[in-house]
Amino acid sequence: MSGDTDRNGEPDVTATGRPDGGLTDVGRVTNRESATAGPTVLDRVRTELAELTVLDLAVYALYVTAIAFFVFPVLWVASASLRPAGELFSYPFRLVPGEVSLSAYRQVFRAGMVSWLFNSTLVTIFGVSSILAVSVPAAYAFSRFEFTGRRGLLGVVLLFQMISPVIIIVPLYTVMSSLGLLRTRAGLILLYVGIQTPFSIWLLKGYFDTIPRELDYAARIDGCNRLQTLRHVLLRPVAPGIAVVAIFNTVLTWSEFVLAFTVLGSESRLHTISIGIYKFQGQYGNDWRAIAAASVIGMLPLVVVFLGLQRYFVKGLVEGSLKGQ
Amino acid sequence: MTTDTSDSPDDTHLELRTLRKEYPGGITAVEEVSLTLPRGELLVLVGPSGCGKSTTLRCIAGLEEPTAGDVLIDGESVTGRRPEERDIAMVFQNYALYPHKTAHQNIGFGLRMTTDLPDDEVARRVEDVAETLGISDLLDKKPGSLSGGQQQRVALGRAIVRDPAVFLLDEPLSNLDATLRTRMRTEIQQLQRDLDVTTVYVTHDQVEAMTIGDRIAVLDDGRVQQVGTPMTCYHEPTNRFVASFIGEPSMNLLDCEFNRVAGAFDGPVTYPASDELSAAAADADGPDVTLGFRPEAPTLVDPAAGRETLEREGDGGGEAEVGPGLTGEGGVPMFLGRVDVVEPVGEQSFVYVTLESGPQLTITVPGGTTVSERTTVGVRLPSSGVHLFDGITGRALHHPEWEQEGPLAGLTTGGSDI
Repeated sequence: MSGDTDRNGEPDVTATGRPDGGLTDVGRVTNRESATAGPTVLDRVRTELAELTVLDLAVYALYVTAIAFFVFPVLWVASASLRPAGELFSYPFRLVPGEVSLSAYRQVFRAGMVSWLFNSTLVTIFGVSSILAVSVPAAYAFSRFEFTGRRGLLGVVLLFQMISPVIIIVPLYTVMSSLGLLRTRAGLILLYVGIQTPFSIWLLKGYFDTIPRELDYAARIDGCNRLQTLRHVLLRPVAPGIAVVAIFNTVLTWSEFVLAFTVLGSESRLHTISIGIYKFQGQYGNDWRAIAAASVIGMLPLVVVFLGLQRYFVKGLVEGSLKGQ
Repeated sequence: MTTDTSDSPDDTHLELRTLRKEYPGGITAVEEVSLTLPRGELLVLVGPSGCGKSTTLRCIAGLEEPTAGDVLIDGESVTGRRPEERDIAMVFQNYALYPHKTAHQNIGFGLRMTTDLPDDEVARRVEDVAETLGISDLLDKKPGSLSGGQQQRVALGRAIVRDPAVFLLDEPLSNLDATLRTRMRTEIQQLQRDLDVTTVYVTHDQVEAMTIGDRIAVLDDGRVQQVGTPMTCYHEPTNRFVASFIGEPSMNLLDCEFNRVAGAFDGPVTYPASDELSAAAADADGPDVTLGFRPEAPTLVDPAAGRETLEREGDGGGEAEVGPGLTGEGGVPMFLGRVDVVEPVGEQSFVYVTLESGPQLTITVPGGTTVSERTTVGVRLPSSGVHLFDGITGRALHHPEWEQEGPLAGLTTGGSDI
């Protein structure tokens, strides 16, 4: 198979090479930009196709499979949300709905989607910013300060990360109850901060550790105290790490269900999007269209946030983000 | 500013008194360091890695608190003061420029943080400094888009813009390539002279130390081994460590036992002791001594003829007469050995010779000398080129004379400009 493509690819390049060359020559005289750009890109694609090896093809096949594996459920959900009632389980299965209907979305919004979105947004914004507010200085301290018990404390922080919150949910409920934090957003946010901070500290400490200590020294000689060093000097270099932590925690706090359901309980006015979706699951049957529609709406903000922050991963915040300052 | 108030050029400006720095866990980085710098001096702290030179510098800067001892600037103790209250500036090995700030912001940051100067005054000073360093057109760039040499200049700019009383340079050249390093070395030297600012310069590179320092302080194991002018440290090393550390290639050292009866040093070689050397060896704690000689001290001769046949080109006859001048023709001790490697570096070649009795020696010959690898040569070592060290303590017992009149001085200082 792949041997064939290789053999076929080579003559293609040489065969089309001449007419292309002719085109570029003419193009240079008349319109440089449009004429030269086209053929060179084409040429490059051709040569790259010709250079593909069996291994490359296998890797790409794997990529396609993996992407399909992850994208298919998303497409299915999107497709399900757009069908009119009754078309969902039609046979044979069709990914593209025969008839598009927004009735599921209408139903979801009537059921309180705006309130869920609002609650999730509030919890996520306050949760993630609180997590950052705690973990950035903590990671800085763990990375830079020498104090007794530093290693031990780091170990304890890691240990907490190992404990699944679901396992300690009963004691957590009791503590929340005695603190009067049940059925409050603050309670839920505090839980998220407590549970997500250890992981965030570890991740951020790794980023701080990569920044040369001399930068701290230089800042101190330039008259910065510890906090000023963090703010003026280290925050920018560590920004890609902060972006990573922010994304992880946004995804988690936005979609978390068990703790939210436990803490918020029956207080439906405070329910977040994940609890909202759950409400369409009934004892005698699930309203899959509504679940799908709610899921799609729930997904969108995350996609937006990710696309927004992804820019910083790719470019590296250190270089790119400072044009405005 | 501070430099303007100097009343006499020789007054002590920076002083370290029995500085000691221990880290938790029982590691002592600095055992005891005492140094005195007159105003405007450039002192180089040189030593192998881990000798405590950088820690000493950080103690002066206030980045580390010394466990004991005192740092005085202008006769006033600054121990316990924060770095910005010490009127110092520091340049780091990796420059430590703020990656997200432009060169302009990098240089001006310290002024913004420590002074109430208005923005336009800060900008004016930054531009002045940039002009001095020839980086005016780079001020809007971030460190990432600057070359190593340019980053180095920005780092220097950040230090001098604050017009500090004391300048601290921590291996400022080690990240530069060889050509640039030589150029920046001269530039730093010039800048230091122009600003007339007391400077402590840390390096592990003894060549750099020799060339740049008014004086050098050789550190090892957290202690000052010797403080002196580069020439003093080269010609009169106080101990075996300094002798082997200063000088490139380093001094040949042979551990021997002084045989009083035979009047000779026994070891890898048997070397007849002159009266001077015998007297010096008597000062040793025991019979163990170390013979040391610079690579340029011996001469290579044809082993068969026992006379100097290896031709020297473009060189006066002065060097050839040295041996005979002291011990008479043929009286200079000679050892047979085999040439392993010849490393030509231009005006000189380094010849590595393994003696028949075992030890390998490094010998410098003028670049024009024709020496072939894997041939047998005679190594003639006049006693006028021999240092003697205590075999146990390493303390220097005897140095050959130098800087004196006649052909002797011509020879011994001849190789010192390495």
